[in-house]
Amino acid sequence: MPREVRAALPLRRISVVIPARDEARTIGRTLEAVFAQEVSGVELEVLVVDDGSRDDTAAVASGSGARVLRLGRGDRGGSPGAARNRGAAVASGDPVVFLDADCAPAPGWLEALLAAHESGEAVVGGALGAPTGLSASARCDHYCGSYYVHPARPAGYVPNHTPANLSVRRDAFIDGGGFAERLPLADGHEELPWQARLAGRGVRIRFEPGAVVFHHNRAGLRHLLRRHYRWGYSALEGKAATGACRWPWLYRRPALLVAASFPLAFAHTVHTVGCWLRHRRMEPLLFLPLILASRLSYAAGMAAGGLRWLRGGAEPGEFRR
Amino acid sequence: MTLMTLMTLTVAICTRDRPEELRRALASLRAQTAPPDEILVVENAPRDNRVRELIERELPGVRWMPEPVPGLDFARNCALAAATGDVVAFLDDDAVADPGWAAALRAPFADPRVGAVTGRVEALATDTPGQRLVEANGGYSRGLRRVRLPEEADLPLHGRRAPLIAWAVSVGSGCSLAVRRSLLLEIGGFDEALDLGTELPGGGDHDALWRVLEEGASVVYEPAALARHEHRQDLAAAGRQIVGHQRALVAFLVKSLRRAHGRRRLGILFFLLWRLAKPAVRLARRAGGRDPLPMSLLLHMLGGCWAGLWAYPAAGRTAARRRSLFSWSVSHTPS
Repeated sequence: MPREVRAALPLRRISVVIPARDEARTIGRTLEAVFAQEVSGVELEVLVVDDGSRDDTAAVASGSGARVLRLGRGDRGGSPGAARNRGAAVASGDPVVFLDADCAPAPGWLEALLAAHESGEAVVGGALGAPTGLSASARCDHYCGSYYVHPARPAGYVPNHTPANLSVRRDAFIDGGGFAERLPLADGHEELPWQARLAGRGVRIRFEPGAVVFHHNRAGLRHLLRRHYRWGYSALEGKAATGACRWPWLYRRPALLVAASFPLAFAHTVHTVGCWLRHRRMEPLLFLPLILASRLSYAAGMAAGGLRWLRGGAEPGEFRR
Repeated sequence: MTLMTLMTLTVAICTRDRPEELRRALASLRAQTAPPDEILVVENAPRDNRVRELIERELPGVRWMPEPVPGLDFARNCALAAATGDVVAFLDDDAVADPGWAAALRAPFADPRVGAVTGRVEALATDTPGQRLVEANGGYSRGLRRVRLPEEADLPLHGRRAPLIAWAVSVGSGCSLAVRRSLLLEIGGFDEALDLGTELPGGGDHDALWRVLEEGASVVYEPAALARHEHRQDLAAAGRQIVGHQRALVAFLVKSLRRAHGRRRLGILFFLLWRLAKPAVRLARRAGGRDPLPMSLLLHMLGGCWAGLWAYPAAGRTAARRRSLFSWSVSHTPS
């Protein structure tokens, strides 16, 4: 179907897909905020894909009114990418909105996403805001992770967007081929392959800062460092192979990045803090040592994961078409 | 004639997002002089309940099933697998069957050598510029003469001798097409890499007919089986559809060329070269005022045809990705 026709179809049923692993603590609040969204003429289908939780995530989710799918043990489960793909395959609505279990939508979130779809966008990314009352380490996590996607950023087209708050017309998502399910890519940069494929076909990702979710980052220094190590681990594989990132030229020589990872951590810190200062957010300056620590952790992950990837017969550009 | 009564017929309509047109098509099936044994609606990648509710509310006796993977040939294969009839007749959701349509499509299958039957397709209306454009480009109609392939492939086609594959392309339209279910299942059903929507819109019908012929079975064009198709109303959409079909046709020819052997291969090659050159020939004719299509559309057609040369492998990858994305949802019953 031609794109303009597809975009003109009435939006009737919307699917929200939430992958969840051990999220009993946060999923109730998230679902409550999802069901509180008010858009007339729209039916919500909320799917929680339970990815082997060891707590009662599933019970809380179905108690809150969501349909719960379970990734079986024998299934290629155990990754958020796989969980999102299963959810999208079962989803019957259009668009499919991917939301993380620890992200509680603000009022008007869904309306803002749908408005962007109505104007013809196939892929719309929303913003991740920091809720009030976060601990210092969780706030630092927000500063380290969300400097490109916070609500003060301008609207516009972006090379990639996190699936924590991302809405996709179903046909476009399916044509992209879905999230990477293979670890480590499936646990950090799982969205890049399909976003790169769509980019190759001229489908762009619209960042819509009005569609806000509050990301309840987990507290704790250990968690902060682990999270950024994990992201760094799949960064080279994800970005070099797809080119779906800012400064793709930087990733043309992955070996060079591995070699320069330590000094790059300092540059990364400056860039992160600078991004916030541009939007008049001064608090990250206070967190400078913590941000540097998380950037060093990211760099260590990038070196380790990058080396592993390069040894395993890396194929830059394998997802480009 | 005794054999004919033994052949049961399923009419399958593959549909997406067109409940009003579907209602009209189903009404025409209800009015058949010889009603089919089964009517099956396969809804492709449904995104709401409109079609399902329409059928439950107004059309008891019509079987509805969803095919989650988007793509016409995924839906056609779903229909093939689910149909109970010996013969499965496909009607487009935006077409209307004449009262004698089902009977006329079913009749040739009395001969066990017949593997597929295509019907005559006329325009339902030529009210809008888009519909007139499709008709000006030759429309879907293939005339009033009954043709049986490969037996009559030596006859001149459009005034000259043509390879068998040109005949197969000429008589075929998935809009009104019946196949022997067992044969088609045996040769692997419809090719899901064709008819993918925007990426490769069409070709699945030609491909199925061609593989039926390659299998040694016959294909009959039966002008008595009349259906009327509502062409795209919008001029731009009609133009895109024409160009898309040309691209898909070339992609199908490239695919067939790779699979074929011997003299057939030569025939496909000649036909492929002709299809690649044809838009240029038409452009020259247009310059002389002897082609009804606008220059810009013919230029797009030329580009589309050449783009079709490389389209098939990429479409195959897209189809595989779509299939794998849904491989899990088939066996899974959500809790």
